[in-house]
Amino acid sequence: MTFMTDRKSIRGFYLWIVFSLLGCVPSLAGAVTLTLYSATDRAAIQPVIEAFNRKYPGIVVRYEEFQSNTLYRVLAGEADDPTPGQPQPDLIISSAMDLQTKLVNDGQAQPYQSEYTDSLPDWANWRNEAFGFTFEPVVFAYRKDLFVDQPLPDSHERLTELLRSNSKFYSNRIGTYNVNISGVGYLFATQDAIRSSLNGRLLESLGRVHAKTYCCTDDILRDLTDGKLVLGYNLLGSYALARIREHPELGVLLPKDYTLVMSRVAFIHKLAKEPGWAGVFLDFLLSPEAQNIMASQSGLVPLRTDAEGTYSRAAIDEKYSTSYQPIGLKPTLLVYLDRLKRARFLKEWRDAIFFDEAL
Amino acid sequence: MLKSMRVLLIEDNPELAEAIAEYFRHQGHPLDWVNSAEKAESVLQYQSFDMLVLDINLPGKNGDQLLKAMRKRGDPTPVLVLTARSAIDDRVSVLDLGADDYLVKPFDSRELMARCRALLRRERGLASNEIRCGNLVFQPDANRVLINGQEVEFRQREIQLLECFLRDLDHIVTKEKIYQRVYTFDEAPTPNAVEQNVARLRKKLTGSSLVIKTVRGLGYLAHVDD
Amino acid sequence: MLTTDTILFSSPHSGSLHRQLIIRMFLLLMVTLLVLGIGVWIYAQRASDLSHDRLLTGAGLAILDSVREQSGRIEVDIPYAAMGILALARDDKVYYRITGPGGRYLTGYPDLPVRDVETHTGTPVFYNAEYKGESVRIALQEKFLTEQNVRGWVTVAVAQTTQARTELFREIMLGALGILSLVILLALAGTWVAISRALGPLYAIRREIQRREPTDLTPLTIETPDEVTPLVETINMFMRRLQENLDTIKMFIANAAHQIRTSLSTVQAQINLAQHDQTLEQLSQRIMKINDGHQRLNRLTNQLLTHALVTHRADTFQPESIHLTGLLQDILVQTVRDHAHTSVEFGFHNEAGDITIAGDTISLREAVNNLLHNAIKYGPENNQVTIQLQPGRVPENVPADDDRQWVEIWVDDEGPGIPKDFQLEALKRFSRLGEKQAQEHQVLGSGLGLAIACAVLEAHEGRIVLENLHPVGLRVRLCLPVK
Repeated sequence: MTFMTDRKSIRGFYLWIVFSLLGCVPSLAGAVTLTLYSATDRAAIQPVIEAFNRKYPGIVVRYEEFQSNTLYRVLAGEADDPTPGQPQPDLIISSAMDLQTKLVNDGQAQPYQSEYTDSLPDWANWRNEAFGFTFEPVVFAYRKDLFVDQPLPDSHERLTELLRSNSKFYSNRIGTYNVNISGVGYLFATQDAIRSSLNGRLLESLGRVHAKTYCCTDDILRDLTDGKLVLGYNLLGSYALARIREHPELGVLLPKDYTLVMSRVAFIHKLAKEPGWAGVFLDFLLSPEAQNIMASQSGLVPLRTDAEGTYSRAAIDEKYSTSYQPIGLKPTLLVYLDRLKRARFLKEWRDAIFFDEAL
Repeated sequence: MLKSMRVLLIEDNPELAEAIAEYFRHQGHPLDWVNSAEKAESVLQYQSFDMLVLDINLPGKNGDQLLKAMRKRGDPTPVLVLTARSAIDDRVSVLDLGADDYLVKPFDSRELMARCRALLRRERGLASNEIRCGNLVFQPDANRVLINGQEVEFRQREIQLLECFLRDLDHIVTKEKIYQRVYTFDEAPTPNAVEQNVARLRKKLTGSSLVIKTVRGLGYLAHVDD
Repeated sequence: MLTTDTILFSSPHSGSLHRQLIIRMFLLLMVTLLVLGIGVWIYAQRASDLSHDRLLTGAGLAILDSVREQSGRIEVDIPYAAMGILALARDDKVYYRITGPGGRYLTGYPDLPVRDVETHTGTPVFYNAEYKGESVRIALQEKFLTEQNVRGWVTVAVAQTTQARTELFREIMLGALGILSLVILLALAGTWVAISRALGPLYAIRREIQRREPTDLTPLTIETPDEVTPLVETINMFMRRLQENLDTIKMFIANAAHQIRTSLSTVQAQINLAQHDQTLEQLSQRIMKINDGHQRLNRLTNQLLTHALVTHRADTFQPESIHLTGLLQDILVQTVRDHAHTSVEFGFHNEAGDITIAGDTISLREAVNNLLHNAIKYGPENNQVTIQLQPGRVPENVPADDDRQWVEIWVDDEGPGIPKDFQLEALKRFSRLGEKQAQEHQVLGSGLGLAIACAVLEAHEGRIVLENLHPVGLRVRLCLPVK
């Protein structure tokens, strides 16, 4: 199974996924078309869509995949819609919680309420407009084989120490997101800045060991697998966990001091053509059925604690003792989207990571 | 004595009717009796009476309806109403309906007879050439007065005075009225003169049925006591 | 007679006092609820505004605090805390806009509706606006920068949708209204209980009276609060009077029965004797006696009926205008006519002039008729009977504020009069002069004449006064108010 994360821009890629229990293609005439704009790897979400189609054979799901920043810019009107003339999106799904929050704050969502949305934890439901449906820890991924004689950085603090004490080991062999490019990278970095007083020192240490920056999770995992990196910092846990199943030399650490938890956010567009079906799809995402599929097939760690599968929370909790700190869906996510704030943050980040380039 | 009078009695109580009839016949007055207003109406169609004695409370058609109908068609026959109701209540309405007098049960037969006579006298009035008041007979044309059949000598003024009283029997005759009727303007009589004249008249009427009572403060009242 | 039945369909009904009180109390409480509701509405509005305005102010101040000059440029580092404060209202959207001197846009939502602040007072300005299709509350705050390169006002507008504010408002409102309604319900319940308790004695009185035998007129002995005691006293007084009236009626009936039966027996005896009379002369005398007895019965019956009539009319008559002179003359003339054959002399005297009073002609006629009849009956053969109409004196026992004129009708005779001690008694029904006096005058009165007059005068709110004349005679004065 290949995982395409927020890969660069798979622009203009879309497909009709039409499934039927009977295996025949139903007539499209008069059928309902539900349009999803999503910044989630199609392969990861596909089992869920398939299940949805099995359940609601009459619905045509049109799936448009975006990179999360692009998705934001398209919706915010800062970039052209890649599919002019096609229906506007009914449901928006993205891992960039801050950008999703901003879109909702700007009035792009419409409220929806159901038994499923009501059962969501507070931090995963904002205004009954934005809903988190996954529970994806932010993790460190490492090469087990290379850490045989090395102490494991099992917390942010420990990592900061080790980067200083074992700078040689880590030098040029640690990778993280380039927050200038990666939406989730920026989200995680800002969340670290909010939560940890050590963050400045950690960034500085990362700079000193010449940490490599990447656009995407996949690239970091690839370099880890290839042995170019010994540690990937602040990776999207779901993808990392999926990767280590295929590559036993890789390991995943959930930092003990705090483990950020990201949740993919879905909202129904205000101008949705099919708000009713969008709601049905949303409920489906939150239903045990879809959450089980996520846990067992898609590798997206589902939000529901009662979901079962390899990637269920129960499975993760069993292996890793952690202190989760879910990123709450609330207006505080808007802080680092401020024009000036963002510029300042990025400048500081660059100054820390690329300190020597500035010299 | 008056000549006999023909009376129609309308009364539903046979005992009372019989008693009244017997008394009237005994006094020399033929009396016809019917026991309902309906019968009275049919009798009245072909016979006429000097007067009617009408019980107001009759079975079937009521007495006052009969009375009303009579007066409506212009029948002037005098009507004396008998009533057993607390008569004073009915008095006004009965008189309003055209009754000439009324009597409350129980009554004395003599009283009924006297009232009937008085009514008849009033009815016949002074128009006839002979007025009978009990034992007194007055012949206006001849200026003659008979008491118990005996002629009594009356002066012209006394005759006038007598005529004045007879005209208003059972009513108060004031001294003013006497001045107007008996005296001319020139005479200007003193009250004393009137009193003297009345006293003289009263003296001459001694033994007659006509009584002239003095009501101090009001005048005189002549009454036939027969 | 007083029975339970008569109570059931009596007296005009003005609805339940209990219900009226409850309804009035309910209306009053509803008005209270309305007034307090408006008050709570205003208070809730203010409270919710105040608390959420504080969030806006706090966030604004935190942002302003982060505004500084750096190398000739204005730097704004939105503090995380600022949004943290606003996020206390978790479900509300947040907007802000920061402008530098001259209104130059720095950061935030450029199209956020910002008012021009003319006077820079330093205190926050709050206002409501529509933004992105939702109503928002905006707080405007300013800070004056006096750096070398940058001088002027930096304005921070912080806006928040009003969801939490509205929710708080609704919460306060509903909470307060809930409590208010509860209080009012309690008040109503309390009122209900209080009214029930207050009316309890009335129900007790009703029960007590309903429970009684119709003939039981003994005083009520219920223990009652001060307010109800006068009612019980009045009821007791009423029952006492009723008892007295009943006693009087019983006495009256007994007397009437006695008189009628005695007279009937007398007549009966005479008739029986007449059957055995041998000679025509004896028979003739017997018939005379029967006639006399019958006349008395006649008179008695008439008087009883008249008495019943005037008593009945006293309750029911509609006052009409009565020309007294005319009425009295009319009555007198009738009496003169009826007694023309006797040597009784009559007179009429009017000292009062033309007087019209309001009253019942029929009753008044009966009263005077009976007095005249008495005057003739109890007087000597050459009796002098005079009716006078006199301007009246205001009698005793008339309330001071009663300024009506009075007129008096006098009926004088030359009879023996009535002993002073006996005068009061004489006005009662069936009270007659002693047997001795009766024998003296060879008359047997029924004794109802004065009682009839008395009843009529009572109905006319008048007085009746008896006076003995000198050397002989009785004067009956009927004092009547001129209305």
